[in-house]
Amino acid sequence: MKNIMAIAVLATGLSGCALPYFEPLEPTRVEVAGSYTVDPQIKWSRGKTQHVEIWTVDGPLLESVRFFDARADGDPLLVPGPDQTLPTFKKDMRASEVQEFVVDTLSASGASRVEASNLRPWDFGVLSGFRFELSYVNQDGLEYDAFAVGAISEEKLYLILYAGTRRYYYPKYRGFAEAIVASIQPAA
Amino acid sequence: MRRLGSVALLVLACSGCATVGPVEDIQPGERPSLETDEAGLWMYMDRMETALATSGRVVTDPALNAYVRDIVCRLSPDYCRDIRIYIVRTPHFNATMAPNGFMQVWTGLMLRATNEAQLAYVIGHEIGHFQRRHSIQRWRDARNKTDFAAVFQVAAAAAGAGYAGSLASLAAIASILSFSRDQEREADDVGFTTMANAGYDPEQAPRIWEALLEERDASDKPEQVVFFATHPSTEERIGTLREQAQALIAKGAPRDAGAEKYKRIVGPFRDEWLRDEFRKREYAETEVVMNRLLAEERQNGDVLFMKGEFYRIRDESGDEDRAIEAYKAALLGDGAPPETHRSLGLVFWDAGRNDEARASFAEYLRAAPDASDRKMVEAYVKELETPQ
Repeated sequence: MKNIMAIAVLATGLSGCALPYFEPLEPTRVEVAGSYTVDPQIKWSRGKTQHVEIWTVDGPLLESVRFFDARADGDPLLVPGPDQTLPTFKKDMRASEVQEFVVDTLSASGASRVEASNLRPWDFGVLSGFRFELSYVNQDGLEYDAFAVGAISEEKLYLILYAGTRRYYYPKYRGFAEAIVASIQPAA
Repeated sequence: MRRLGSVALLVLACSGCATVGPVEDIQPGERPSLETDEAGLWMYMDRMETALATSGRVVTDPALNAYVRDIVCRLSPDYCRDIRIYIVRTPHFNATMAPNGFMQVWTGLMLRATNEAQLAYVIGHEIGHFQRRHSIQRWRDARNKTDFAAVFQVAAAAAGAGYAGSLASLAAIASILSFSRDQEREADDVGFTTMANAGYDPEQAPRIWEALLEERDASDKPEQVVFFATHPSTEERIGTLREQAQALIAKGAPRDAGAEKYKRIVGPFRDEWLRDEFRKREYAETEVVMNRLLAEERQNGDVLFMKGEFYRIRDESGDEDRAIEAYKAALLGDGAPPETHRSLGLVFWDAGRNDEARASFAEYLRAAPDASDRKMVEAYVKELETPQ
């Protein structure tokens, strides 16, 4: 069960116990992760679990944008379940290692066939950051595509992940997700 | 879950007249009669099999599956058509055999076996459980004891849809399919006889257990080695197998280990399965696995690269130097992947050896001009060229 909880928070929403309460979010610029603002583009349902804010339209099992709170040295991306060991962020990681960190977190959380590709520089608002694409399969065999954008600033990792089922939902909201990550601005 | 309840009732209804006692070997093509408790057990296993088959953990590579199937058929032509194999991507040493003929071979086992004969022995052992119908004996025994409720709950949970591919679920299935010490000994006998009759080197049978013991002894948490959670002590089994192997070898038994073929077919999966091991973060155990692979292939650049990856990821005191040494050895060996240069660059950069880092990244870009992370690595080079 420990694995299910983590993967639910990260990408699929398999387990009801790990899902937050969702409330409507209007398409007006909003602060996320306590550190920057984005333009939601459309109406989303917004929920918050420990360290992660989740936006979805059709349900987190189908598609979601995940805004991770800034992670400091020694922090895992997610809250580990009992007896669960998750990889931890290290402040001196390079983009290649952050990609590895995300892949390992997904894998340790129960996803399989996790593949990352196309790691490249990418502007995270005003920060020089990185971006990469992901694909994986959840524990029920459902295939997902995803992309992650992030940056490390003042020894903290800022990360956003958009994920959706390969068939239909990932492409359905991908354009909005792209516009959201392109709209990052520092919080006032 | 309601449907499972119905199955439970069916099993319970069927069970009243069943008694615990010796059962005959299953016959090729045999299925239990619907009115028996064994049929109920098969229904559970059919559900588990369906759930597992659709999970994301099953390795579907046709060549790898055909290879393992061929081993099963070489070992036991009679049961070949009754056994369905699922190679399950899970970084632990284990294999399980369900009474309805579905066999799981975990990738952690395939990573640890260094030749076909070792894998064949374990598969033969599992065929022994199937042939001797150990599951139904165990099921009846459990049902007649107070732990039936616990067994049922585990079975119900494992058969439930929704997380068939989770380690918890796989471990639950393994626990249901755990056997008594006597049954394990019997399966050892069948496995050993079967592999020897098929012409495999009998000396490889104890070796796979020895490797596992070495891993357990190195482990920080030996109680969490999945295999030992469901199997009795192995020292005695190793001793018995050694004696049996020596006796056969003295009589001129064939010594086919199938090492080269095994490396050719399983080798392409080794890196990703090793990375699965790294992700467990049970480094003491994994280091034993690494060293075992290295002992087999000291000059293999790919294995040496993975050794470097192991130290880079573990990142304990002294690991930076160990990683650099391993990467350099990999580049001197045969078949080191281009990523060796990239990883070497990352470690040099961490160590503040920026010139060497830049040179390594540049070499990576030369060795892998179409790398999907080319733009990122070009950015690293540019950053390293910028005066600080």
